[in-house]
Amino acid sequence: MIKWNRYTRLKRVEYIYASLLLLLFWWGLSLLINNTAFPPPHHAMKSLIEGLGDNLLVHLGVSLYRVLISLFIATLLGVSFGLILGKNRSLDNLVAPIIYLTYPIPKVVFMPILFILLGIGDLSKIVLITLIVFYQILVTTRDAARNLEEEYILSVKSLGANAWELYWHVYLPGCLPSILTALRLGLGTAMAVLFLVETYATQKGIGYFIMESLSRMAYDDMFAGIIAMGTLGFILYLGLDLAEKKLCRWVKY
Amino acid sequence: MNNHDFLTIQGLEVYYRQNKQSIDALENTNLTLAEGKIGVIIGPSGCGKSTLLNVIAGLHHDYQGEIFIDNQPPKVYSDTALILQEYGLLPWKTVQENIMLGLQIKKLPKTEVIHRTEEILEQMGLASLAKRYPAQLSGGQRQRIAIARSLVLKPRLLLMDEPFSSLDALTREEMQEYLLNIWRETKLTILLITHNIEEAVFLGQEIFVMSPFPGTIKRRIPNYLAGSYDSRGKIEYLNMVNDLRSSLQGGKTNDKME
Ligand SMILES: Nc1ncnc2c1ncn2[C@@H]1O[C@H](COP(=O)(O)OP(=O)(O)OP(=O)(O)O)[C@@H](O)[C@H]1O
Ligand SMILES: [Mg+2]
Repeated sequence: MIKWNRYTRLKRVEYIYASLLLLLFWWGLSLLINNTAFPPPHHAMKSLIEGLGDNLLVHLGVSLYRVLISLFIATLLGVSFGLILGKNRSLDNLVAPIIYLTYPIPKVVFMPILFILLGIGDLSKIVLITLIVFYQILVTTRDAARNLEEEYILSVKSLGANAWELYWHVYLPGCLPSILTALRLGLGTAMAVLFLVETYATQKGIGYFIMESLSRMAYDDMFAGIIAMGTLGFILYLGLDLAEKKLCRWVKY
Repeated sequence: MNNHDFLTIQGLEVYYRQNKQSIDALENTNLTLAEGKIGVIIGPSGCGKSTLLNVIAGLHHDYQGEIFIDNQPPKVYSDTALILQEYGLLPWKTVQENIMLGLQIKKLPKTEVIHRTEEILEQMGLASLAKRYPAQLSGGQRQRIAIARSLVLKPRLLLMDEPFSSLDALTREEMQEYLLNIWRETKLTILLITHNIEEAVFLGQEIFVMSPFPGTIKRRIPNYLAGSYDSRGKIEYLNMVNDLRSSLQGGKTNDKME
């Protein structure tokens, strides 16, 4: 946890300074490459501003919707099942082999199947992102719940807590730091999968926007899309940071 | 059963099942403790002290034999409070929230929960710590909070598993006296586990000596020296300590089993 905080909790000045450095690097690189396929940042920025006035926002909105819904469902299911398995040893013994066996399978290979079975609309895309993130959250949450101090559980049990109260007062808050770390990693994966699914059989979404710009050889637009997608991921990341600050204040002590 | 025996345990047997093997943790264990007394359990590591306490606390239902607290089995009896060795305070709840938890679980109305929590913090001089997290407290403070969390429930039986073992010597003596003061005010029935012979003699009005393989209570020693500060250096006190020590080492033959 400490490591994460060191690298993610930046001050405002540090954000600005890092962004400027990145833009400078991009600009230098574009001069060096000197190819229309790699425009300098101000061209991309110009295109971004024009795009935002046009339909880029719609694409961004669609992508945001897909990724948020997926993360939400994956978290809800992953955390619930993870806590239940972590708390109930015998159930976990039954399910663990299945998880163990299916965990290493790269779930993206199911994309074609999902397209066939669920159609090429939002549903198949959301299901695929959800599936992938779900696994990460499930395994992390279960392991965290398994390793929770017995002492916390016993002491709250001795206060007369029922199963639901144990989940609410002990398991969930005790596993929250791990869950948020899993969500951070899951967010990265979700954005990558989002891009992949949006490059197939859709007319909406930031992934489509980028690939469509590419096919038009509108490289300024393409980079505007990349900036937009990066910013989207970054804002979601900040949201998780904020959630951690609010919900896990006790961790820093 | 004696009428004033608040806690009675007769022929208690406890097994743990592990990998199809069954581990015999307690066998033919008997114990009685009158209401308002402080009992101390002492014995070597692994002899089943924590197991015994957990069964009395109603955390472990898989036992044979009889346990009655005020004529009710542990499962039914709800006025028991348990304090574990590492205190069991939840690191994600502030002191105040930790103390409120038991009251919330008892489904008391919100205003009463808040009122009783403030009251106990005030009484025990802990109000200034209310907003802190357990990790921001010293060992002694944590122990006090754990005691406050138990007392706020107004229990009639307080069980403590090696409550002072992770404290330094000075804090430990301070906490022993703190506990005695609480006992004098509340006349709670207390049963606590210790590894420390002097602590057993200082606190235990009844001392129960346990032996391992399989775990059982092999001796009960009434101790009239308990709770008096002046007796700490006296001959009788030292005799009692020596007696207890040899009993724990298993050498003594004149067991006065009562
Ligand atoms: N959950 C469990 N599963 C299997 N065996 C257990 C379990 N808990 C305790 N035991 C065994 O039961 C015996 C008694 O354990 P217990 O924890 O009650 O001892 P103790 O007297 O409290 O020891 P200590 O002084 O070290 O705390 C030990 O042999 C221990 O290995
Ligand atoms: Mg123990």
